[in-house]
Amino acid sequence: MKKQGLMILIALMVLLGAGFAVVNGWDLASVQEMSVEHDQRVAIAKLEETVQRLKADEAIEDAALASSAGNREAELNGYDTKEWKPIVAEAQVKAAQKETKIAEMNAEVEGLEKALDLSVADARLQWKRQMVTIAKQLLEMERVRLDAGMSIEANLQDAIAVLVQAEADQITSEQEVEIARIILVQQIKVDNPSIAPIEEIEARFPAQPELEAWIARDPEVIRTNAESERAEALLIKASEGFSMDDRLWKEKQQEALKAQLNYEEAKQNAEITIQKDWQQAALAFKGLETALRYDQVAKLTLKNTQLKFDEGLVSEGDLLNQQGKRSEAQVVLKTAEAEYLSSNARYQIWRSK
Amino acid sequence: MARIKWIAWFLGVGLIVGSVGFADGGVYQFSEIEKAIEENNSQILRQIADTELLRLQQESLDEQKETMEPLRPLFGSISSLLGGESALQLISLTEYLPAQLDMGIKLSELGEKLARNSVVLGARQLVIGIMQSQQASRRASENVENQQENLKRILLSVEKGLATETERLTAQADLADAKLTLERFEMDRKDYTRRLNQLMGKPVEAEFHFLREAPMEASLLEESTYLRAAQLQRFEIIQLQEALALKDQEIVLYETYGLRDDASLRKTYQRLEVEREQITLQLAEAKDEITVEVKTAYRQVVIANQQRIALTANRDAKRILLSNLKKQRQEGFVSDAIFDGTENGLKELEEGVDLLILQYNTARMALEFTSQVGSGMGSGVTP
Repeated sequence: MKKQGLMILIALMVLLGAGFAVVNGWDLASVQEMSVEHDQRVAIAKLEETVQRLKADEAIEDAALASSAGNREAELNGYDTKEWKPIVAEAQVKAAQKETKIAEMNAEVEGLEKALDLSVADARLQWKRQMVTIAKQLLEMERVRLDAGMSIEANLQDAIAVLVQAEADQITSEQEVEIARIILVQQIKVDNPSIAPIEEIEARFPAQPELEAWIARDPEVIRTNAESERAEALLIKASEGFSMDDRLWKEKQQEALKAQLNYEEAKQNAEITIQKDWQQAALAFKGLETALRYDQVAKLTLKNTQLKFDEGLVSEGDLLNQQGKRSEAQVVLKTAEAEYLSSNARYQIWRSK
Repeated sequence: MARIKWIAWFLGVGLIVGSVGFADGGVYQFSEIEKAIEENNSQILRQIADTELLRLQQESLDEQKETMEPLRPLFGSISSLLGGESALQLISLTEYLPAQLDMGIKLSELGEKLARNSVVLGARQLVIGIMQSQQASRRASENVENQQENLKRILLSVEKGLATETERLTAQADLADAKLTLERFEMDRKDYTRRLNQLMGKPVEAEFHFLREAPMEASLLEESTYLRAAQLQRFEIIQLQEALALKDQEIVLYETYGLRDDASLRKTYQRLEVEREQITLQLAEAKDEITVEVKTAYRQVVIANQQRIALTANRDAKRILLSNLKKQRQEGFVSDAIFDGTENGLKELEEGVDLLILQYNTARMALEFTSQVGSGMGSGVTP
């Protein structure tokens, strides 16, 4: 009854859009902080922000000094420098500020992902170690059965093969842990990162994207929008005194077309990425929910097998196999947790831009 | 801000044209997608605008050149009059910049073709992705139905005390897992659809439907035909050949007008010679790379064709088997389950053949783009 209650609770929480707590969290906040601190792309983005600010200042100064005197082309250039270049330069500054924020958030996510990778690799190693222990026990049992004339040589050879495979898997997992550790060290510049389980993380079904508002906050959309408005204004200005073989007007026409196409494409790119990120986060939540269900099944099956073993209804080998399956389900759950945290964090970047 | 009439007209017409023929469900040919790309793809339209801008620059330069014409007889002694660098600027205006712009225009026009080819190939890959995810979705959706049935059965058994709590939980987990798999394929399908719509200049959320086409009928030519054509007509080769010709022209200018011996330009002249050598090496390297690309593309066509032929034969055999089974079922010799199983198998084979035809045609198209040889040329061989 207790287990049924838990499942109903999970189902209700999911239906109501509420979250559920994922146990075995890690000290991720400090990892994220260190990750931002040492990320080169954040430093580069900050420098770019400074460059754009300086360019904007220059554009403002140029605007103050600009003259519209001269022929039609000089007049148009003057209008551009006075009215539009400062606006475009300010949009570049705004976009660069957004890029810095995005670089910081990306660095946070990368720190989180690499810490989670290490944690999952470590969990997998624990499971593989357990599988080696189980394989050794099963081999020992098989030896005893063969000595007692209750089994055949082929079964013993099978058990040896299982142990050899389990040991090979353990060595692979040890190497994977090392690789994950090296990658994390490189990201946060800490020699011996310790990822202790200290907090609980709440998983929530991600809210639907606010498409229009988020698209408008995308740096590329900000940049191309300003460029497009400028190109359109210059075209209007150039059409004063327009004649059919007007080369200046034709140039502005082509430039306006290109700017408009760039703006439309930037909006579509943002829309496609937002939709994909949202769906990935939503599916990762459902994947987590499914992994929890399978973990519950493995837990219950192990409990039943233990009861049957206590009553002498199943062999020790069956019990050991079930313990291995439960450990595997926990590794799958941990992997699903990591995938959810990572994809949700990437999706949330759009919200926070 | 109010939109200019011409932009609205241009984009509006493009979007309307792109939507025609795609609004309803049904089976569509790739040529319709190609048509929409031709009219509305932003990468292609931008490239066309670039060419137009270069043409306008050429017009301006022609005017400037006319004003320079009276000075031409003085060019021989201009170096001693103005000094090397100023003389070079004046001479370039009439003798070198026009050639540079000519080359820019020619390359930009070739760039339009290149953009078209790469967008069309990308679109075909997306169509293959859509078809694969549609087929996977259908299978996943059948699995969801099976798991739903399984859960129903288990729940009934639980009520009667014939199944355990663990079996119920497992069936629920299996159903959730099947639904998740279906959603993942649907997500892929939507993503491919959005990206294909973007290439076609359509709103990204517009739905796109199943697509089928006949295998390209023109015979594959001898490999050497593709290799020869690629060496002559590939964009990279033409680009480097043009750059080499321009470099030669620039070097000749120095020699003709005595600029080579001017102290301020001696080093520049030496640099030009080194650059010429670099371009020559790049050209040889590009030819080697293109040879590898064409040979690989040719073999991919052969592989795709063999797979298509094999699966088509398999499908044809299954069609005959199904028609025999139909008769046997009518006579009561074959159960419905066996017949349904074979029918489902045939359905999957039919879809597989459709997909392989698309992949074969795509490989043919990739070979054509890589070698610049259109279909129906030369003597045919069958891979």
